[in-house]
Amino acid sequence: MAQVIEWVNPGEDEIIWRYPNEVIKWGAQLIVHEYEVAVFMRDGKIYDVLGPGRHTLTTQNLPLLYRLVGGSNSPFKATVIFVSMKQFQGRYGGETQTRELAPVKYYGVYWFKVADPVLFITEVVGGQSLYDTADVTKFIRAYFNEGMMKHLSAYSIVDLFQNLDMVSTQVKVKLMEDFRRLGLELVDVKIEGVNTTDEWRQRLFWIMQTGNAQAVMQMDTAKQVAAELGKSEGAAIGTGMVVMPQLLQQPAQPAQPAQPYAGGGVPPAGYQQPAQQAGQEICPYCGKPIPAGARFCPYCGHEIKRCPNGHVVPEGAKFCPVCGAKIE
Amino acid sequence: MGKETSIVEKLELVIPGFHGYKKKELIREDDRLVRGKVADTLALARREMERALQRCAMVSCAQLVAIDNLRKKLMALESRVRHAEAGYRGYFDRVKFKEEELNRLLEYDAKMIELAEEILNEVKALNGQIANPQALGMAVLNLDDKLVNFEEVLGKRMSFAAGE
Ligand SMILES: [Zn+2]
Ligand SMILES: [Zn+2]
Repeated sequence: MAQVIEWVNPGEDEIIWRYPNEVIKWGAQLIVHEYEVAVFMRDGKIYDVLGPGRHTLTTQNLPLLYRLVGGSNSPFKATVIFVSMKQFQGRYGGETQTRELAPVKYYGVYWFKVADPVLFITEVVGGQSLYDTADVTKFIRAYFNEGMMKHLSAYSIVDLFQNLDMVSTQVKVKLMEDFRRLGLELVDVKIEGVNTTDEWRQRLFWIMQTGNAQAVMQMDTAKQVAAELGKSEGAAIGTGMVVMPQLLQQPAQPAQPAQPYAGGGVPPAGYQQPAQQAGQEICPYCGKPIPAGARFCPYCGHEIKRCPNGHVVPEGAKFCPVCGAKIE
Repeated sequence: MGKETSIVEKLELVIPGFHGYKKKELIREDDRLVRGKVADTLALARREMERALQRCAMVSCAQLVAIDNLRKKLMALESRVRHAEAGYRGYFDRVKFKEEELNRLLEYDAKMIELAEEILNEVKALNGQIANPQALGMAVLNLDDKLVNFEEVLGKRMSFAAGE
């Protein structure tokens, strides 16, 4: 009976499969299904590659291997690796730091597929000696995560929370390039969530309230920011403070509706961005816009603390950032 | 020389090996050749699109997300064209086409190829306008139009081929 080399019933998540028998006979039947490629290797080097179809292995369709074995018709040794060309989904999650060293956690989904099987086998399978789908998947996820971490750390915390769409698209483009180097095509990336510590969420809240990233960043802790800002009218955080005194003079008014950042790209760090839109409040814990008057954030579930006049105040604030009212 | 003949000739010129659905045992093969040609053109456009995206990300251009959305649309179209054979029934199972059916199919094919080329050119134009916000906005809109247009023709061609 002729030898049959076939990847039978590959699982949903299987990227590669190594044919267990390394002794191949001429005349063997090679079955390569749609969305698959079969790669012949020896000593870590790639020789012949065959696409979908039913092939009888001959000296004609494996010319490089035939030459390698010195033109003999006796069985030869080779590793056959099947590569799936289907699209795969992976989940990721990790921690990194922003440009101002704020700790950030992130998670999401990415989709990828093999674009260049030879490069992929060379870089990943052969290059890392990973001959098993689980190992390959793990390697790709780690590689993705490493890139994600590196690229995200180039942004400021305000970018991440205020312009996540733009940031994630920019990061995706950079990751696409990283993936191409492995013979992979990164089809899409979705960042489902980013988060930071309470301390930094409150800092973020103050930055968005005052539009003054620099001044807020100079304070050691978010509590100090809250205390400083609440001290007295217009005192607070130095010359850069434009929005606050004005707000303090208008008690019981919602925060001034402000021009949202109008440019397209990610703005430079420390840009002035009063974040609130008319009638829109911002959750001090996750940075997302919440419905006016909400008692709980619909995104992160945190209870929303308010001053006696109903303004959102972050944890630890002694005074309302909008009206200056004392917080019990 | 009839109109049909010139369409076949044009197709034969851009698609090596194309038989114009004249040999019944090669009808599916002809279909595969046409779709392969169109998908390859769209793949070129996608690669060009990725370059545009990279340049756009580098200069933080305002259309980044819009361009990425077009890229995804383009990718979806490419794989729809390339892997359409699954479940094909109808006309491609016929022994022979009636003349007016054949002409319609050829017209769809020619239109798909033409539109794929236009998409490729539009993407190239877009790539050339990354640093020019005004023109880039227009290029994005133009490309979107072309993609919508292509999708329409593809849809019609597919349901025609399925015998609907
Ligand atoms: Zn929240
Ligand atoms: Zn208040």
